[in-house]
Amino acid sequence: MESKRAKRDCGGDEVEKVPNTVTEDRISQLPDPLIHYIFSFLPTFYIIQMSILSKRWRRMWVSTPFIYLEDFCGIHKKKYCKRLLKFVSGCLRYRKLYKQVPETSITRFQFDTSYSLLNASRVKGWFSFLIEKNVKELDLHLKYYSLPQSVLNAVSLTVLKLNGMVLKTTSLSTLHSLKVLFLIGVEFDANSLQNLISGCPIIEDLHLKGRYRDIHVGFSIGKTLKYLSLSGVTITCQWLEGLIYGLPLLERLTLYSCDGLKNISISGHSLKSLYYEGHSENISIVSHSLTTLHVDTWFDAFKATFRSPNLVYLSLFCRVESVISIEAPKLLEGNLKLSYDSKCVTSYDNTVHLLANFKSLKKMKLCMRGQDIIFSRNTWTPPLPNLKHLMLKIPYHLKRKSELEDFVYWCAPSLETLEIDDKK
Amino acid sequence: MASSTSGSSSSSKVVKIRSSDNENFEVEEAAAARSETIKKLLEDVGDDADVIPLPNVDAKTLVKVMEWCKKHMDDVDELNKEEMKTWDAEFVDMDQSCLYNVLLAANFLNIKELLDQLTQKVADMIKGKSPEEIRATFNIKNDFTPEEEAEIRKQNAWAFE
Repeated sequence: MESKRAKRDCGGDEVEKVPNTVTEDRISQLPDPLIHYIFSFLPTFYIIQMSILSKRWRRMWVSTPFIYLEDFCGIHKKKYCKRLLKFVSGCLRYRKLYKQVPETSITRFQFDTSYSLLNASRVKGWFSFLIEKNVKELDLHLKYYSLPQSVLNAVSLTVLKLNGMVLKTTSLSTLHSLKVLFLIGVEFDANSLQNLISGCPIIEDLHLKGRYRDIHVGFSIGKTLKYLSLSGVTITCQWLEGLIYGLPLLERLTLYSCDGLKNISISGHSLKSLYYEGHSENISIVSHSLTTLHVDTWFDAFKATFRSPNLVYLSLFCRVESVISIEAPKLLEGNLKLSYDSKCVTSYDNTVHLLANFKSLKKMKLCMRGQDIIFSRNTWTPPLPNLKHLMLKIPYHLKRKSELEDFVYWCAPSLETLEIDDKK
Repeated sequence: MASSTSGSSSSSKVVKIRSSDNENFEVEEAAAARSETIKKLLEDVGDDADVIPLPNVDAKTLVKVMEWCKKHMDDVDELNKEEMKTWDAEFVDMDQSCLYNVLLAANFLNIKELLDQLTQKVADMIKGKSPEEIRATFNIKNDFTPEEEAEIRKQNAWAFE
């Protein structure tokens, strides 16, 4: 665990807290859009309950643009499933009754259930109703439920998040307004995925998380994409390189636990932030625009070249034997986690070599994982001449702790603050 | 308003803003620009801006809002994410009248992230409570007659059976 930092400095007067004595009903005076904003965080069940609070709250739930449905309790019983289905139908029926009021349009429909809805015929009808209401955001966690084609053709949709569902479609979707697409543990084949993605001409944000890593992914996507996250799928380096090359607006790329990335080479023209986590042997990142980089090879030793003249923040988790070359003159902050073999005689040289990549650094968090790290006498030039603040995390039972402190002060001669955390 | 733990940005350009009760504040432009409303005003008036009046926000509230803006001036990197989360949680933990003032100010100043945090906080205060407990928490007066209340319960029975 991290050691606790200094308490925040509180500007202005300290707010006097009067426990449990609210003298004025301020919440009821909030304008409707703000009350709906608050509702957007609450399951619909709660906000229907609130209609009994007072006249002000009587019909608030009918006009809220956010519907958020979830299981009433964690019990798997047919009775509860029926009740939930009835509840959802009830919610939507009320919407129908009030449809002459313009505020009853539905912006977001969120439905998360552990019950199987495979045999529930009415679910299809709900989607038709929502699409008729020009729903903008759908967030669905319906296990094994196959998404109706009507949803994939809903031109009003801007956000579509699917979790644990089945995607099977033979025709091109027409999601002309869709900007955000999340597919989490969704079952699909390559054609269905391509049919879906090809029908999203202005997509900006794609998250794809596989359920099994044997899902091969190799789609093509529109040039409008800004954020891409791939996790738990198998891809090829060539495909990834080509994809990034064809995305002139891509700002943020996340690759988590993907198979097939032994040799990664990334050169994004517009990439600002890159997050990589997973096994790899060779990583080459050349990007002028990159400012934030995170690389964690799960303590593989690897070879890496990072050339990013505008990089400000780098976090790197690797074995200390990794051979890394960094050209990043503007680097200010670093987070380094190094793992050591036991009794590795070259660990001192390796550490200094690695740290020498971080010359420009002012602030650093360094975590050393290994019981028996050896720090021999130094003959090199100090690797961290500019470092001012260091937070050092070391094992609880580290031997030669005083040697380590000498080593740190030698590494960073202009160090102003040093925090050492050796808690378990 | 001093902040010693804020990040690396050293933008020193300062803008002046005035609260509804005529107090002037000098704030770093990068902090003030967290408010879409102020950002737009700054773009409109350009560099000749003298003082930007904010007629809907009193001084005490403005201090709070700007404290948040200053903390959120720079992009948060991975290193500071946890620290920021703790800071935010402490920030929204304020008494109710202050909470609504800051909420309304965040709405007027159009600071989406702050508005998200504050409305989430109010939602958390509602979640898990019975209607009676919600009334007590927020001092909401029940203005239904017993007959009316019974009628609503009947109408909503489909949801609570």
